[in-house]
Amino acid sequence: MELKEIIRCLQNMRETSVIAPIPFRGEGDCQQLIEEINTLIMEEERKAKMVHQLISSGMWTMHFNHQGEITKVVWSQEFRFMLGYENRMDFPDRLDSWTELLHPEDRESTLEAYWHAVKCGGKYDVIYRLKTRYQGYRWFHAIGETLRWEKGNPRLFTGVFIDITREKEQKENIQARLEMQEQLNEMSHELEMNNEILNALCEDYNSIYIVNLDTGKYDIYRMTDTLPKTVSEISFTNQIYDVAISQYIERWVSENDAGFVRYMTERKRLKRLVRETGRVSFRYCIKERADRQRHFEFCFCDISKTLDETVVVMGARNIDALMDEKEDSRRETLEQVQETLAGSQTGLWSLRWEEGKAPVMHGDRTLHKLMGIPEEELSFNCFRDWVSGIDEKYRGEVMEVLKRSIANGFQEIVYPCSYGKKEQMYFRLGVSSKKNFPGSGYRLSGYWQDVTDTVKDKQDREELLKEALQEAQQANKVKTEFLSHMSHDIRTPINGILGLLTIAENEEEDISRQKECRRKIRQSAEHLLSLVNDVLDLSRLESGKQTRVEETFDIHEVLDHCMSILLPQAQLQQIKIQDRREEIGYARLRGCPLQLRQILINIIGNAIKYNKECGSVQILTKETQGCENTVWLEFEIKDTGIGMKEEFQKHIFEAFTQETQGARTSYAGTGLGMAITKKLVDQMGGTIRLSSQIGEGSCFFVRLPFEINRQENKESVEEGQSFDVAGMHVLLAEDNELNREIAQYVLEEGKVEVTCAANGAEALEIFEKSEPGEMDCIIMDVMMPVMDGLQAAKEIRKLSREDAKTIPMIALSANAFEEDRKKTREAGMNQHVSKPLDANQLFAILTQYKKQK
Amino acid sequence: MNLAECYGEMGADYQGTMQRLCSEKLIERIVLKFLEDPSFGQLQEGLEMHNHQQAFQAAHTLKGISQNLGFTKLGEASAELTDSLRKALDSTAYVQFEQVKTEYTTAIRTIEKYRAGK
Repeated sequence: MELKEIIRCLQNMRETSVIAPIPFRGEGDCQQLIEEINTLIMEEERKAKMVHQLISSGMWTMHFNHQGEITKVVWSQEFRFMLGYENRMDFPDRLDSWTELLHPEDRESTLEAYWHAVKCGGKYDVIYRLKTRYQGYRWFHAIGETLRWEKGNPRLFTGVFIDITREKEQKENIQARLEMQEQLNEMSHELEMNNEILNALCEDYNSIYIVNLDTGKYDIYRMTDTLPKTVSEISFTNQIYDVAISQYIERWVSENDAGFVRYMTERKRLKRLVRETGRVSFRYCIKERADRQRHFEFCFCDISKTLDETVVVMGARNIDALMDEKEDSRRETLEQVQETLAGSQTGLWSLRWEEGKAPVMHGDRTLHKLMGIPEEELSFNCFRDWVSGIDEKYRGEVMEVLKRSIANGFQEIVYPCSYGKKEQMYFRLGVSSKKNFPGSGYRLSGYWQDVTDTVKDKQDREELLKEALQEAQQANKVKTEFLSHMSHDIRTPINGILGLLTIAENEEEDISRQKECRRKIRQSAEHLLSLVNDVLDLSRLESGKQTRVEETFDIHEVLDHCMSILLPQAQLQQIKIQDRREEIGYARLRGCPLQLRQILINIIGNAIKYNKECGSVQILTKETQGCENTVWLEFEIKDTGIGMKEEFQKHIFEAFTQETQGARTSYAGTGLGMAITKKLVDQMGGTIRLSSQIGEGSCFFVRLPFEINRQENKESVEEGQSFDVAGMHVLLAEDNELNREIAQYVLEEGKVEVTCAANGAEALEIFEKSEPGEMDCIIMDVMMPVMDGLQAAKEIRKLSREDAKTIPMIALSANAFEEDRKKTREAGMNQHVSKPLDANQLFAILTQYKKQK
Repeated sequence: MNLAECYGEMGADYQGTMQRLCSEKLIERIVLKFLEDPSFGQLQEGLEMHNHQQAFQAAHTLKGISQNLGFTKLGEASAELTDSLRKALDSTAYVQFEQVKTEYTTAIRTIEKYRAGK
């Protein structure tokens, strides 16, 4: 046989996996070789089978033609066995034998992979489930490869299936176990948290038990270390509820509460109650302990799961802190109430009143305080104390009020009373009765409040109102009187005027008569005018509308002014006026000079008017120091007049009062002068009084305060300079144009009229030609040509005109030595001013000379 | 340049002058007029012509004006010269005149500068 044939046979064997002997027609060596090859092949095949068996795998092979169509499918026997089939009969060598067995969930992906591998190439590595004959679905891992024709179409698709069901299951088991482990961890963590929360919540509780109320048995859930040993002993030794509870109550619960606790913890009752309400708790006190623990609380909570048995959680805890809090807050509230009541002077009381028995009254602390009873003597029954203080006239009424409250509910009454040494007080009593009072008699309760202030206030206000009313009525009366007086006083001169007019009309031809009438009419009209003015003055003063203008003034000036007004009148009546001014420390004052003048003229005027013929008026002005910046000016005006009756003196300052006899003028003034004077003096904060003797004369004393004007000096200096020179006419002699211009400008700035001369001769000429008094002052430079200043001054002084001697002459000189000054003085000049020119200095000097004018 | 600066530049006393004369307007007017003042010219002429009287009067006038206007340096120089001339017209006067001239020239130049700057 040729080698080609051998190879073909071998190929065939491989393809069909049928081992067939190779027909041998060759030489001996070749045959031996072939035998060996056969053996090898069979060996390999056995090995392969073993491997497959070992790893539960099978094989497949698919053959394709050039067109890519399947020509043959070979499933390995092992594969068949794996699937539970025996031979080609029940599992044919067809593709669909396999595809039919694919698990629906895996079919699509597997087939896709298959086609992909076959058509396009690439690795075939898939995992899928196949339905086995007897074992249901099993997992298979298939790995295969495609051999291709030259053109790329598949030629052979072959591979291995491995049953990986066991591995898969194992993996799934592990996975499941891991998940479970995680869940367990979570649960455990949750449990731990719950446990912690529970622990925190029941920290309070000394001990917690789980009690089965049916069986009466209990388990200890928790017990703190702080529990006294005896308690824990009870709990441990007895696992029976009834016994343990009984022992506990006996050992620990206070006598007062023992019965109560026994009742509350009785098993049957507890079971019923806990079923109904879910939770039962109550408080009790324990017997005295060294550590002062006192208040405790038992708590039972239903945790039954079924209706058959009742299981509760029982806990016990100390509630001292809670109780203290409650106690504290209660005390606080009480204190607050007490404080409020005490602050408002209100006391609370309650009264028990039974027929035939004396009433019993309890009062609180404030009540006793109001009655003036010291705390130590707080009496049990203060009824008598209370009643004794009530003003007698009101006692009956107060009792009536109490009685009325029984029937009609809340009543109130204010009544006067006095307790202890206290003066009269007023209390307001409020009372109400308690309805449905168990027992006989009545229970009244209420309050007292000290309303003395309120009542007194009201009384005061009423007084004030009454007074105000009276004042108003009085004022009205005065006004009416005033009006009637005034009307009379106005009518008189008017009638006079009308009378005189009639006379004038009737005697038209009598010229002297006409003149006489006119004079008298004028007199009357003037009098009427002054009357109206005075009335206005007075009314303005009274209404307070007079606006006071404060200004600085000189007391001497004011007095001088007054004198100048009054002297003519005095002279007419040949009355001598003596004007003495003593101790006037501060002449410049601040106040109302106008009003001062008015006062002085009024008084002095009267002194003159009501004087004897050739009498005298002595005026004395004195200044005394007041406090701080004030002085008092005291005026004493004494006259040798007719004097005044004492009766009249009392009314002298009222309007329209006059003692008409002896007044030296035909009309005795308006009668308002003194009223106005008094009002002015009052307004200025001063005083006025008088003394008088009939036939001898009167003396008025006026005292008025004024502020010292300290600004005086500064003011006058500042004021003097620029403006006092205004209107002066100055003759200026200066040869130098520049200097002259400077002087002229400066002077003209001060509103001084300037006439210029270029030298002394010109100055002399101008002055000679001027009117007397035309020039106020001559300013001359000393050094001038033609005639210097000194010479010119001498010549001017020589002139015969009246102002030649008096006209002020100022020398302007660069030299300021004593000698030069002497020269200027000798020349007849008044002032020596040195150069260079100073405007302020010049004005200061000029001002002097203006004043003297 | 303002008036105060002009004064400053020629060593004159602006503040003092303002205090005395109170009006800047006046000062400016006179300062500008100073340019036309004949006193210095008369002084110079007087000295050149040996006219004692003229020189003295002119010096005196110049002193007066300078002092009035607060031209300190010129004023002082003029004052010195005036005192000398009061006694005699001699070499001292001529020497002192040179100082007056310097100060006067400075003053004039400064005032002209001020005028130009207005």
